[in-house]
Amino acid sequence: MGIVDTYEKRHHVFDYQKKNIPDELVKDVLYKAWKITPSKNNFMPYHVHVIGPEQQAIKDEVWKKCAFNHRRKEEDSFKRKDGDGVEYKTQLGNKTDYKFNINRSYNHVRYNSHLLMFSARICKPNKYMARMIEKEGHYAEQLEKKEVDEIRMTTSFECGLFAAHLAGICIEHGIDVSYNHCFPGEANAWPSLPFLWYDEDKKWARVFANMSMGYAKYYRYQWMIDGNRGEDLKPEMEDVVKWI
Amino acid sequence: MNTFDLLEHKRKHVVEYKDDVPSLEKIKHSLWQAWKTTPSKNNAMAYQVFVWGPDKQKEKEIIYNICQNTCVEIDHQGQPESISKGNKYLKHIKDNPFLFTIHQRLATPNEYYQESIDKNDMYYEQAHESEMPKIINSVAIEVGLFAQNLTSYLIEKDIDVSYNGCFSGNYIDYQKAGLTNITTRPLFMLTCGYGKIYRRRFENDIKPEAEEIIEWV
Repeated sequence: MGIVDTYEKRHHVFDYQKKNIPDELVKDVLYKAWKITPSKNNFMPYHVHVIGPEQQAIKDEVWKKCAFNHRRKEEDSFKRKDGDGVEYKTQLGNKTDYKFNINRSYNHVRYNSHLLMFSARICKPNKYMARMIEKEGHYAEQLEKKEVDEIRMTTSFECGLFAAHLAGICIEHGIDVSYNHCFPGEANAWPSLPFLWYDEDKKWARVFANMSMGYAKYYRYQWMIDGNRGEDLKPEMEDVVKWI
Repeated sequence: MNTFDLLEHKRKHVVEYKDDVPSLEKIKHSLWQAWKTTPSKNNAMAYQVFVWGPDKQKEKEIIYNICQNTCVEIDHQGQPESISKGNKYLKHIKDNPFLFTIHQRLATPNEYYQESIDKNDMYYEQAHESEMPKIINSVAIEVGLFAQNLTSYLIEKDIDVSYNGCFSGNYIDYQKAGLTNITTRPLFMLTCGYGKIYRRRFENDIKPEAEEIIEWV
């Protein structure tokens, strides 16, 4: 079996079983993902917070943030409020009124065995990098709170590398994973979850992604089939890969 | 070979590639595998992978120069007294069989989402130019997923890969230098080929301990 067979097995989960992954196994797969994930200048400027089965209140709160962000985005875009009964034009120009529905795709953020939250971390240089800074004039953005926003794109990318490694290792152990990118992006959006803060004085956090782990009961693709919802296809390869 | 063993034992940063060029079939197949297995929010894949092949030496040198200038600029912006002369590990950006630069892309909703947009008031942010800067984080996460998958598929075929996260994020810089086909923000760069010289593993250049990165709440 090749690596492609592993990643072909990944599907977005709508509902997980109530069975939890043993903490020891979660620790093992996270350690392996950490071990094989490279990072620019070996900084790894992010935390992976592990929210286990006993922390349901935190998961509820994160799920509420996802729903809040989705609703806010739609209300801002449509210039309407949920249930105000006023008609507006959709993106395709048709008239309708607006009612907010919580996306079932967020269910996995609330109900899972373990939820992982990737957030910004202020780093310290290793000895090699300290020498680069002292002797070769290198500026390490990863050491500065003021640079968190500036480097958010490369940090997001590195979180993606970690997440992909972890996904592969999890699938090889029969563990399902799902991703979530819909949550508030403001630094002050997480006042009640101090473990996320990179700046404790300002209570600022920068969240990059959420990822859930568990044993799937019902996948999104099954929901698509069960409801005769048609096909949800990705763009053609030629749209994504361009030979110059 | 499983994911961990493959990457732990075979992925190494290349300083210099051999002159041998991997077959086009292997590159195309790896790109297809990465495209096929990389998930994307709303199936948007709001990024585009430009493949610069062996015949694009001039373009690669332009990109390399922009990367080096960016490194020096960042060092000087952060430390005005800096004596930085750039990054000595960037040579792989100009001397390689294949360079991949990944850029943001305005997406078009598929039929399923078009229907959702119309019926359920869905807002498809990946299709709006004004949203491109706002969704950069989630697009960059997906580029990380794609790059990792591509890396695995290339390494499985014994093709080495190296990354570069030091480049100008302003597409205008590339256009000014003559690369007018770059019209959106670059998000990441990677190269591939057969490694001749790999980056030395310095004893002091270690990543933070797992406990510093992974925190149990």
